[in-house]
Amino acid sequence: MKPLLEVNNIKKYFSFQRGILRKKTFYLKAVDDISFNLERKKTLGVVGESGCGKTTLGKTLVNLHKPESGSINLNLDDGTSIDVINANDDEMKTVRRTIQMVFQDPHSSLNPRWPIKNIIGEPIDILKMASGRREKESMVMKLLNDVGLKPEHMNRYPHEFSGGQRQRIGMARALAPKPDIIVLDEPTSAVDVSVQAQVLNLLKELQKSKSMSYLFISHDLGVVHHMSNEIAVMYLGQVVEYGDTDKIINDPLHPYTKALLSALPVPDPEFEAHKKRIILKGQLPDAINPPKGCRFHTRCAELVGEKCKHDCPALKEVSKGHKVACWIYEE
Amino acid sequence: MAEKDVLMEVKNLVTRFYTEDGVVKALEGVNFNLYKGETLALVGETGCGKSVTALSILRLLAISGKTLEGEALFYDDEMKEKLGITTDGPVDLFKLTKKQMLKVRGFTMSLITQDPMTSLNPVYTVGEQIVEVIKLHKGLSDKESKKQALKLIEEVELTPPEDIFIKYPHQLSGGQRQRIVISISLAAEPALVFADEPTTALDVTIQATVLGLLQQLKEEFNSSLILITHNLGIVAETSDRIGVMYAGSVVELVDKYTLFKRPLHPYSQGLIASVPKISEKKETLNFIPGNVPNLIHPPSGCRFHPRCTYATDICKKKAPELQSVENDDHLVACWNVKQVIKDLDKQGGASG
Repeated sequence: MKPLLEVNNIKKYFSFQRGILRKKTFYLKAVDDISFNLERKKTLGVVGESGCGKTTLGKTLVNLHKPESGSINLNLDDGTSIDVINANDDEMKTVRRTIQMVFQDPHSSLNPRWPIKNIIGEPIDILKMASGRREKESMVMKLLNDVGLKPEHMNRYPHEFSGGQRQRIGMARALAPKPDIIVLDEPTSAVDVSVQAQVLNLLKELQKSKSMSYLFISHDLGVVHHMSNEIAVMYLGQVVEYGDTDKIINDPLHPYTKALLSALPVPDPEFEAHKKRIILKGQLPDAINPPKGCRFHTRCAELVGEKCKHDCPALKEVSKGHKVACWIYEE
Repeated sequence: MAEKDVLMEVKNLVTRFYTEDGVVKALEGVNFNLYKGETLALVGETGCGKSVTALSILRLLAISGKTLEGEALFYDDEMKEKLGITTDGPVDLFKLTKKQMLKVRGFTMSLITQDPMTSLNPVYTVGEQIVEVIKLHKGLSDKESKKQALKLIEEVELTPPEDIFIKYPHQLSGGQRQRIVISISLAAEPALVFADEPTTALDVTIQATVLGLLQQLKEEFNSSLILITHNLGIVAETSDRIGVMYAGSVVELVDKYTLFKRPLHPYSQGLIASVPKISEKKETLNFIPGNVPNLIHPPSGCRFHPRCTYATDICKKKAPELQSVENDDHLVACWNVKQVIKDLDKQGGASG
């Protein structure tokens, strides 16, 4: 069976102009040639620092951004296959139903003037999933129950809920059209630690009970490790390493992944005491004018030679299910 | 543990905020002591009073805030000299005049805030802002101050210092700005530095370098550091002792190894178990049920009791005090700590 979602070589550039007299157009390559597959009932974690293009990638998948080039294919269970980028209106409805998104900030992604039942009910209306008001309300109640809220919360407004509860509402809204894929963009970065655990557990339970796939975007390697089957590490718009979670965490190959892991503070003092630190030189380069060659070469501790400065390495498989884009492994 | 010199003793700090919605009972008897040269971390979730503790001690609360009770006893001879105090014993910061407090801030105590963009003045170059502190507190000449400022910029690993000196805050990146804030806060070599979520606005790789730098400079200048954060990873990495705060008071205070290995307050236990770690993989995470309480109407007695599995009748009626358990250096505020220990011992080696 084909993977649920096949993403091939997608690119998303943002253009803007700078200069007063001689206007010049610049391109910010937010997503630059990214390919991956998302399997059924699996979670792919996307990690990287701010500005690496993780959120743009997520938004491109749900077609909130139109990519410059590349293809996104959705292979449904009934055998049909949809080209997400060039989908017509009818196909687009299926895409919207199948791929949903939960946004990072639960304070700005819920309409403050709508009661919860309208927020969760909107996709039900648009996709004409209920035959009447009664049925819609019972669907909303069931969704609230699924995410651990009470049916009587239905008539309340977003400001009456805490951050964790709002993220649950965002989740219920995403679940309403019974999707197969949910793009989760930093779902816990706005909630407290003790609440984060509740949200993560809920996400895992829902994935099991509703057999969904997740694209889990986060800057927190610890959280990604907990949630994902596979991890893609991004740096300045490109995937530098991709593979099974255990391989990435226990046997990182790319110098950037190594540095990222070593920089992550682990809540375990004894583990910390034995950890070897890799300190990265310098700052994150300007994304509008990224370094030539391998984009990481300006900060890399394991430079191979001139090659790194001139040619960009491609993502290559080094062992089964483990790909890395680095000249060190290019033999 | 050998006898250490105490730098500051904070006793029974009570702070309130008077808002339109009601009185926010932000701090309810905060107690801790701070040794010379150590890094004490205050951890807790949003609204637990970590930042308010720092601002109360610095006496920098907003107009709506007021510290009603409490003492912050400071043992520092240099400070007494600067203020011209000749009496013996420690100085209570809350008894100082406003003028004296001005001399204390920056000279004896300084604050590194979360967001380096808002704590730097956008219309002055960063060099001028460092020089200002040096001139004010050390009374050096313009030339000497500039020389010192350049040295400080070099110490925070910004090169070349001459170029950075003439830059405005907006010309620097977040990590660079936070380095400048660190150099300003250390300019007068204070005895105590408060760092309030110093790396929350920064990326992981930048965070690692800034934390390393802070630690290194703290040792060089022989200062004590109070590190305020919600990130248990940072705490495990950078601190010596940890104070866990919940809803306005310190509930557990102990060295970091003991806290992570044998936490005794039910809240500390829940907090530590709820964080996913890359050093172990679990199917489901433990979590603390419920939410952080609203401090306008906080729960009676022990403020953690509605979320606590150990809660008994007394917990609802009276707040427990921070007391030593097992040994003198392990302080816990819990009525049922004996039961907690019993349960831990029952689990035996399983929990490590």
